[in-house]
Amino acid sequence: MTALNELSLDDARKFVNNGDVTSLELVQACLKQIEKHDDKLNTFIRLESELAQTQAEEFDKNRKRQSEIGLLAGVPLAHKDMYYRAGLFTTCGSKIRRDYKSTTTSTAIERLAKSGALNLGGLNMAEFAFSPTGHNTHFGACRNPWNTDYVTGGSSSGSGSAVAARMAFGSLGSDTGGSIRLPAGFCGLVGIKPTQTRVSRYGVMGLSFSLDNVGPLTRTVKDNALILSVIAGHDPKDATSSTQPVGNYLEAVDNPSAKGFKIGIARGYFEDGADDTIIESRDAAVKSFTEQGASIVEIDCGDINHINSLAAFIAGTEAATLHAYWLRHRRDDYGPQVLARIESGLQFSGVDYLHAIQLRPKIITEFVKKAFADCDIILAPTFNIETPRINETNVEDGQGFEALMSTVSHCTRPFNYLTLPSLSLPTPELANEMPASIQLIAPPFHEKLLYRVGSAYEKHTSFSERAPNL
Amino acid sequence: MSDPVLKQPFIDYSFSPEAQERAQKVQDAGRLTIKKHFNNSLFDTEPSQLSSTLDNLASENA
Repeated sequence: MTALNELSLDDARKFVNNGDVTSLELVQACLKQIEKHDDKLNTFIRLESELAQTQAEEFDKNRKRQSEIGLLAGVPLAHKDMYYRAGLFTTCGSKIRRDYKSTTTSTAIERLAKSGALNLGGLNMAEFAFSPTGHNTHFGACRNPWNTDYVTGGSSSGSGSAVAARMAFGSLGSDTGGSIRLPAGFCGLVGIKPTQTRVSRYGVMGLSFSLDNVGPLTRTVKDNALILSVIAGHDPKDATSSTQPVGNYLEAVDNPSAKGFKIGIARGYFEDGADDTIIESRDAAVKSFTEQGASIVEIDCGDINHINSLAAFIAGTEAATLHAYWLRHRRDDYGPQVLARIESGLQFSGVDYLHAIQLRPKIITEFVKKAFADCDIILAPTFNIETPRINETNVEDGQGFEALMSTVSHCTRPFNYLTLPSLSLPTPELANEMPASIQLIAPPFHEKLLYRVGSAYEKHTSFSERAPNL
Repeated sequence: MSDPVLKQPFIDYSFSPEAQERAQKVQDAGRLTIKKHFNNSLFDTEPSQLSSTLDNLASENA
């Protein structure tokens, strides 16, 4: 019999809804898994087992009195430790905020709670979400459940590890340059960076307010669509959140199809420096789409490097602005790598920063018109290197650290400046016995299309039936 | 040779020479991009242009 913590989020919520299992049983199954494996994976910064069990008991008690329950009925999740909840701790993966208690609750967390989801605690992450590998000077490196010698990817490292290890049914991460898609990819999961402005950032630690995105990591495409359905949509508390209507994502995953869609293969930049195994696994994904009746076209994405140079102005300046006070007063409390990255941002001029902001609509428009002229969706690898080992990439601010940062997030970060929704999905083939991943990219607010096509790909490749052998 | 004069982003704070070098590389690449793309049409940029651009592209690709 399948252990309860191994169910998909969708099955778990249905069982609770039908009265086949209780929320408390789900929570306890996850806690048992955490107890068994967290020592070797270092996934949780803070486990809130008593609170989660109390909330589950409360949920089960009320469940009997309610005729209708929320979409995520009694299912335990766990999130990157940067989502504020009033009166509770949020470390942001840092020494500086180790004892910080917020006075507000993030809108995403509030919406999840309203839909019936529970919270198991705060997950490991890169310090202040500013590294793509999963190392953390203060809390230790988070480890990949597929092989604990390897990185999880970051910065949402604990989200990738916990969901892949069946410790939680889903997790919110954040993505400023790839921080949802990379851990999803390295840990064999589904992750989405929605369109910029699709999900409220209210009550979420900021890194770069122009490039930050909130989104879920899950084991299946439907689980992903369930969480995004709950958290997407305008929020009066976040003036930058979009008023565009939220698509019916569940309709898309219940009617999966890739047939008749044009998939654009992005070569050039996205193949630069790629390992052979990554290209092979990408090609296996292309083969799957062809077999499903999609047509494959080659597309020209233009000069991507110029996009990255503008994104660097924005991310650097905004992060440095947010951290200026602590740089003055608590400089020694930063890890060396994060300090080095933030310091660089202090040196850019205001005019350069605003030019990068001002050019953004023009560059997005040019890119979308060119890249999507002959296709509906772009397909590219999520990362173009095999999963790195933890000890090979523990470089802090030593020689070559910038090159490492750029290499790991090479394929993901352009889409943050471009604002475009991007869904990362495991490939049918492993690369060096670790998960590999593709990302599907669509025009703004086309998450529904990504879920429809991504769900068809999942059905065809059965990737979500694979699990790490812990 | 005398030591380089370090920049100060605010009072009592100086960068390391390594940080200056890293920032210089990013700045050089970014400025070349700006030079390539910037033109007079950007003089009248509206504050809400990003959001209206995304809305327009969403409907054009619907």
